[in-house]
Amino acid sequence: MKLVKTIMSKNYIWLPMITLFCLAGFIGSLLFPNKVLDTYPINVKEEANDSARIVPLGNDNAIIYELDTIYIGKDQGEFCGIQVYLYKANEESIQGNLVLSVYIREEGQTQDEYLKNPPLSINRYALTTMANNQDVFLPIQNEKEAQGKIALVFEYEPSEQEMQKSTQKSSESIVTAASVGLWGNKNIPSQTSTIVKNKGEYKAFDGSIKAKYVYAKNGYPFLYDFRLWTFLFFAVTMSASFTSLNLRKKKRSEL
Amino acid sequence: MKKRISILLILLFAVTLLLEVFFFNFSSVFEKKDTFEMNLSKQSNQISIETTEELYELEKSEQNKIIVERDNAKILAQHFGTEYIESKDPSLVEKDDTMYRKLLKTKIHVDMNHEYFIKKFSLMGDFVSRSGYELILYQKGERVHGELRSTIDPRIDAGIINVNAKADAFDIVMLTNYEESFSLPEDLVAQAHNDFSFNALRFFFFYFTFVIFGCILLSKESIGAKPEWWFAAICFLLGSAMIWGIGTNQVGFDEHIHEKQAYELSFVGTVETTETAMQMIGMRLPWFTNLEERKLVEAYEQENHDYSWADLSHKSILVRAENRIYAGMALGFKLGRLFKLDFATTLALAKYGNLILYIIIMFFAIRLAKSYQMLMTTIALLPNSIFIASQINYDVVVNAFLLLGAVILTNELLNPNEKLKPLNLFVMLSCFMMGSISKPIYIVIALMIVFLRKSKFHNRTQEIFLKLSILAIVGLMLYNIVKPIPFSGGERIVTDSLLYAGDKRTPGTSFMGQIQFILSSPLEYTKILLTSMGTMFYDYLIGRARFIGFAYLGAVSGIWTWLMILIGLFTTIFSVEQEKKQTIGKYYSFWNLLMIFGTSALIFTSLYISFNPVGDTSIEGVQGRYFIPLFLSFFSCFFGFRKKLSISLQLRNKIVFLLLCALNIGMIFVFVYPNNL
Repeated sequence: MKLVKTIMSKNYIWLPMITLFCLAGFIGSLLFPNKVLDTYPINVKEEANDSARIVPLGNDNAIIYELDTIYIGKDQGEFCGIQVYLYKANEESIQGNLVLSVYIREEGQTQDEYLKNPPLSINRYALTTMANNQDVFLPIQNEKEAQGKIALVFEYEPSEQEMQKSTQKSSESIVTAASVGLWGNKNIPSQTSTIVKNKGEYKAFDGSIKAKYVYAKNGYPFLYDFRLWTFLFFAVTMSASFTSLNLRKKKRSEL
Repeated sequence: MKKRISILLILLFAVTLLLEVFFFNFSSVFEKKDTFEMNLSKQSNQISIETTEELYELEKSEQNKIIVERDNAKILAQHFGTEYIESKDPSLVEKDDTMYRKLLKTKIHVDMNHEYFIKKFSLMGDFVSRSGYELILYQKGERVHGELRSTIDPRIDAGIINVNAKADAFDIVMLTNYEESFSLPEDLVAQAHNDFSFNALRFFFFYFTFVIFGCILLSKESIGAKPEWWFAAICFLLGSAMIWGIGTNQVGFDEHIHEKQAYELSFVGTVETTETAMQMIGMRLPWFTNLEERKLVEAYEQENHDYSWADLSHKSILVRAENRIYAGMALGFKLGRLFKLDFATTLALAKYGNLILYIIIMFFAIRLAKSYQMLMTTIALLPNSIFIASQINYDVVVNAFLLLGAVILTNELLNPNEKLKPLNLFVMLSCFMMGSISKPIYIVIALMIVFLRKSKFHNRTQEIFLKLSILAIVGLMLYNIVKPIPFSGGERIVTDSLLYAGDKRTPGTSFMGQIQFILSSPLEYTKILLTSMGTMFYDYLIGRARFIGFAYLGAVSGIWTWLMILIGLFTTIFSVEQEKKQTIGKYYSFWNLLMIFGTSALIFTSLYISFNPVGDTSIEGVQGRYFIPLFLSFFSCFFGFRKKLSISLQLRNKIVFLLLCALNIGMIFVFVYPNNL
C-alpha cells in the first residue's frame, strides 16, 4: 500500500514518461508496419442449380489455374498463396504430395508457351497432413515475383511406396482419377480460368476450382492505440503535474 | 437472518415444484395419456390429400433485399468488367411492381376415429426444403381451438406445436417451396401425445422469479446501502433467464454480424469456421418454438459443429481496435472450445461473457453514482439493456462504458469547485474511448470536458493543454471514421467500390453519394434532420413507436416507456433523507442538453449516410437504444428540482427494484418463455 502511495505521489514523473513512450509507439507504429495474412474468398459457394464437382488429379492429370493476383484491389498486398478445397476419397490410403508450381504468364501466351519456362517455384505439401474437404492453405515461395498474371499448376505426386506398388502392378494406376482432386463449381470468377491437362492435352474445365486468395499486407496494429494514448496520457499528465505542483507550493507556503 | 432466507428458499422451491407437477402438467396427470401416431405417406381410408398453387406477397424488406442484390451484382460486374447475367428464380413472380413467392399448399385431412387429449402435436418426415403447416382441429365435425401453426426446417425434419386441446380429427395445411413435381416427404408421420414432462427451464424461471420478489420484499438495510450488489444479482438472474430461454435462436438486431466478429476473435491467426458457426454467421441457424424442437435444433447444431471439417481463413494475430469490445464474448467461445462443450452451451458462455462485463461496469457506475444511485440502477436495469447484454452484441458494453464515463463526468459537474483529479480524468477518458472504439460518434460526449469551468483547473496553462488534448482525441476518433487505419478483411473487395458501400438492406444507399448530397444541400438536410429527430421523439412520447422491447422478439406498448420515464424522473427528482442534495447548475445543464442534441444529430446523420438512400426525405434506421448512453446526462439536468421524500431509503429502493423486476420478468414471460414450453 505504501509502495502504491509512493508511486501515486510521483505520478508527475512517470506519467510524462508513459506519454513519451506512447509518442514513441505512435511514431514506431507508423514506421514499422507488420505483415498480416488476409484471406479473400474468390469462389467458395455454388449458385442455385449448381453443385460442387471434383476436378480430378492423379493419372497424369494436372489442373492449371490461371489468375491475375492484382485484379481485386489496389492495396490488397502481395499474393502469397491460395486456399483450395481438397478432395480425398480414401483418406488413409493416400500418402503422396500435392505439388503446386507457379508460372509467370504473359498476355496472349498459351499454356504450352508459358509452361516451357522454368517455374518460379515448386511447392510440395504432404497429403497426409490434409483432411478431406478441407480448404487447405498452400503458401508459395518467391511471392515477391509471383504477382500479376500467373498460373498455378496442381499435380499429384505419389509416395515411394505407391510408386513401388505401381511398378509391381503396372496395369493399375497409382491413384485412380477420382481419388484425389480439388473441388470446383460452375462459377468462373473474373480474370481466372481452370484448365485440365491430361497427357499433353489441354481441356478447359466448365467452371472453376473453388478458391480463396491469401495476401500478405501491411498492418498498423498499434497505431490507433498509441496515437490516442499519447493524447490521453498527455491530458492526464497535465492534470497530475499541476496538481502535485500546487500541492508542493501549498506545503512550502505552509512551512 | 440466514435461517429465514434458507426457509424462504426451501419453501419457494417446494411451491415451484408443486406448480410444475400439478399445474403445468395438469393434463398429463388428470387426462388420458393416449398417443396417436400415423404415417401419412401410406394410403389409408382415414386420410385424404389435395394440393394447390398459391401466391404470397413478399415483405417489403425481402423485396428490397432482392433489388439490392441485383443492383450490387450489376455494380460488381461493371467493377470487374464482366457481363451481368440475371439469375432466374422460378418461384419468384413479379406483377405490378410487387414480388410474390409461388408456394404449394397441401391439405391433409386425418380422422383419428376417437377423441384424444393433444398436449403436443408433431409432424415429422424427410423434408428437403423449408415449409410450414397449419393444424386445424375438429371435435364431432366442429372446428375447435384457434390458429395453430408451425414451420418445418428440413435440418430438423419436424414441426411441433403445443396444443392442449381435445380432438377426434384434424387437417394439416402444409406450405412448401414451389417445385414442378411435388410429392409428400417420405415417412411423413403425424403424432399427438399427452406425456408428462418436467420442464427444468420453466421450473427455474418461476423459482428465481419468486426468489427475486421474496428477497426484495424481505430485505432490510442492504437494499438501501448497497443497491449495486442487488443490481448485480438481479441482472445476473434476469440475464441468465434470457440466455437460457432464448438459446440459439437469433433474435437480436444484426446479431449474426456481432457473432461473426466475436467468433473470429476467439481464434488467433487461423479461423476455423464449422458448419454450425457458418450458419450462425449467416443468421441461418434453425429456429425452435418449443422444448421438443429445441432439443432437435441443438442436436443438429452439435452434429455440425465439427472442427475436423471446418472452413479455414486467416486474419491478423493482433486484434483490430474496434473488435476488442468483443473480448468477453470471444472468451466465452474460446472456453467452450477448450472444454469441448456443445455448441448451444458455448454460445451461452459467449453471451455470459457479455453479460458479466456489463454487470461489472454498471456495478461501478452505480457505486460511484453516490447521490443518484437509483437513477443509475434504473438505467442499468432497463429491459432493453439486459436483453442486449444477454446477446452477442457490443452495444451494451459501449453503453456501459459510456455510462460509467458519464457518471464520473456528472460527479465532476456536481462539484464545480473541486479540481479535476488525474485518476478521475484517466478513468473517465478511458471509458469514453473504450465506449467509442466501435461507435466513434459517441466520443463527442467527451467534449463536455472542454466546457468545464476554469474553477476545475489549477491554472490557464493546464486548462488549455488539457482541453487541446481532449479535442485531439475526439478529432482523431472521428477522423478514423472517414479514413480508417488499414485493416484485414476480404470485405475490401466490395468496399473498394464507393458506389457499392452502403447498407445491404436498403436499395440506393451510397456512403459518398449521401455525403455529397448533405454538402450540396445543407439547408434541406437540416430540415430533414430536425423533422426526423422531432418525429422520432414525438412517436416515442405518444407511444406510436415502442421503445421498451426485445428486438425481434417484440416490444411492449408506449405505456411501459412512460413507466420507465416516470421511474427515471422519480429517482431523479425525489431523494430521501440520507441522500445529499446536489445540482449541476444552469451552465452545465445548458451544455449537457446541447451535447445531447449534438450527439443525437450525429447519430441520425451517421444512419442517414450509411442506411438511407441518397437524398431520402426522412432518416430511417435510428433505434431508441442508441440514446441510452445519453440518459444520465439528460436526467442530471433535473437534479435542481430535487425534493425530499418522507420515506426511508430502503422503501424507496424496494419500490424501484420491484417495479423494474416486474417489468423485466413480465417481458421475459411474454417474449422469451413461450418458446420453451
